[in-house]
Amino acid sequence: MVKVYSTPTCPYCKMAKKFLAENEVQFEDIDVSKDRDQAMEMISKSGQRGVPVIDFNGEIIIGFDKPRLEHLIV
Amino acid sequence: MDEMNFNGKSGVALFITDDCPPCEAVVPVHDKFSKIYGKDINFVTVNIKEKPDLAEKYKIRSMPTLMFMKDGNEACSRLGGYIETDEFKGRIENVLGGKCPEMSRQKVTADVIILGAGPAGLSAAIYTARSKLYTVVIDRALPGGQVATTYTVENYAGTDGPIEGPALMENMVRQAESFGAEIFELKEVTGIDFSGRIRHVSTEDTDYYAKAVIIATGAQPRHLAVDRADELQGKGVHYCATCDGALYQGAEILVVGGGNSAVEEAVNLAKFASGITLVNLHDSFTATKAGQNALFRNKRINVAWNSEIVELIGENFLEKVVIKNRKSGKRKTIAAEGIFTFIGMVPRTELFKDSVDMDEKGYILTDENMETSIPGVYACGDVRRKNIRQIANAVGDGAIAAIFAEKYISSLED
Repeated sequence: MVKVYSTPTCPYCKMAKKFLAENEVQFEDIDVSKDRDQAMEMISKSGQRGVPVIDFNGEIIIGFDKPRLEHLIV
Repeated sequence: MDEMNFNGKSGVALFITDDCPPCEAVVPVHDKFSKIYGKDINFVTVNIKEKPDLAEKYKIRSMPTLMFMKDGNEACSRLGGYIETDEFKGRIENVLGGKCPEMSRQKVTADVIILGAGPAGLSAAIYTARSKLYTVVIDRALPGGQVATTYTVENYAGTDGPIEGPALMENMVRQAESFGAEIFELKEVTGIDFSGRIRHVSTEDTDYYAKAVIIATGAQPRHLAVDRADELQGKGVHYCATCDGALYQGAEILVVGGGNSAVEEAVNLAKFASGITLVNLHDSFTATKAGQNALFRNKRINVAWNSEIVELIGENFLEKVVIKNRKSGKRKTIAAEGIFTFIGMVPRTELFKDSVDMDEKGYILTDENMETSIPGVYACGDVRRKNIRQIANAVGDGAIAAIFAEKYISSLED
């Protein structure tokens, strides 16, 4: 399963989500600005307090890391 | 079954749209070749306004695009923009002969290449595209530039009150696209060659060619120059308040800087944070009076004047920050989970450093027509050396660059 931890105003989150959608990857979009528990989950998974964080079938990707996403999608 | 199924035969699909000069140029060539090669290879023309699904299916992002098929699969690389007749013919013969050069790279020939889709680049695109120049805009990210990461813009003319940064930029994108500008997003430019009469820009998968180039790559935030700042980035050290501000609800945070960005973003961050210390190197702000008034009215914000951050403390995440008063020399430790830094910008000009003249900070030097040291290569917006960097003058720069690029191109045709 793919989860995108994001905030509604973050452009890099939009980029990541757009990229996943274009590559036909289904994902769950989690708004961490509204959901504190999910925000804490994101922080503990990634060691990061910045968005986006992508949980790609258990692999944690910090930021919109296009090369790593491309690698995982293929 | 769609138009692209050629019943096992080879095929050439031409994707076009309305009001597109290079499309109008290639249609008769396509017709001519369909008469010559029609018995061996199928020719089809697709207007994407009528068949958007087909364009989506084959990820056709620019018009015109020529796509070649063999045995039900795409063969040879695509051609786009102004398509040379010889090259078109060569591709057909490649497909028929089963040999294709550089399989994976697409080629796009335009009139103008604009690098960067912030206010300067999009303004330039509006002008060149409206003048019927085939305009390609390439951005490393999504269109919008720094404005897309700004909560609200209050001082850009014509917006009927405060407007959200992303909304303003969506308007500019729509306006540029309405005149036919092609925007290629999420494309990192990997190489440039401005030495020839035809300029060349390459990205990971496409070679772009044009007579004129407009550099509008903008600038990126300057990083905090304190030990461990890079290590703690995303773990307390941040440069984008619109991105990460919401993760600091109820937290104590610091904002660093004294300009418009620092002052305005501090006010925005006060919606989330329980308390903010604004750390300013000097005893006054350079921000506008309006911005300062909003700041001073906000009870959650304190200002540490004449101060700088000297130490970051925290194991996995930022916990405390030591600031030093530059006048008294006194140090103070503040509990803070986050720092948002707005201490100016660094131009994105690494790629151009061996081609166009720059100042010692890496800003591109231009004349008042926005022309760089290379004729036909222009720079506009935050990337050029100037004193004021606002949306208003980025848009102005873009318009000027576009008008002179157009003059340059028509002078070549004389």
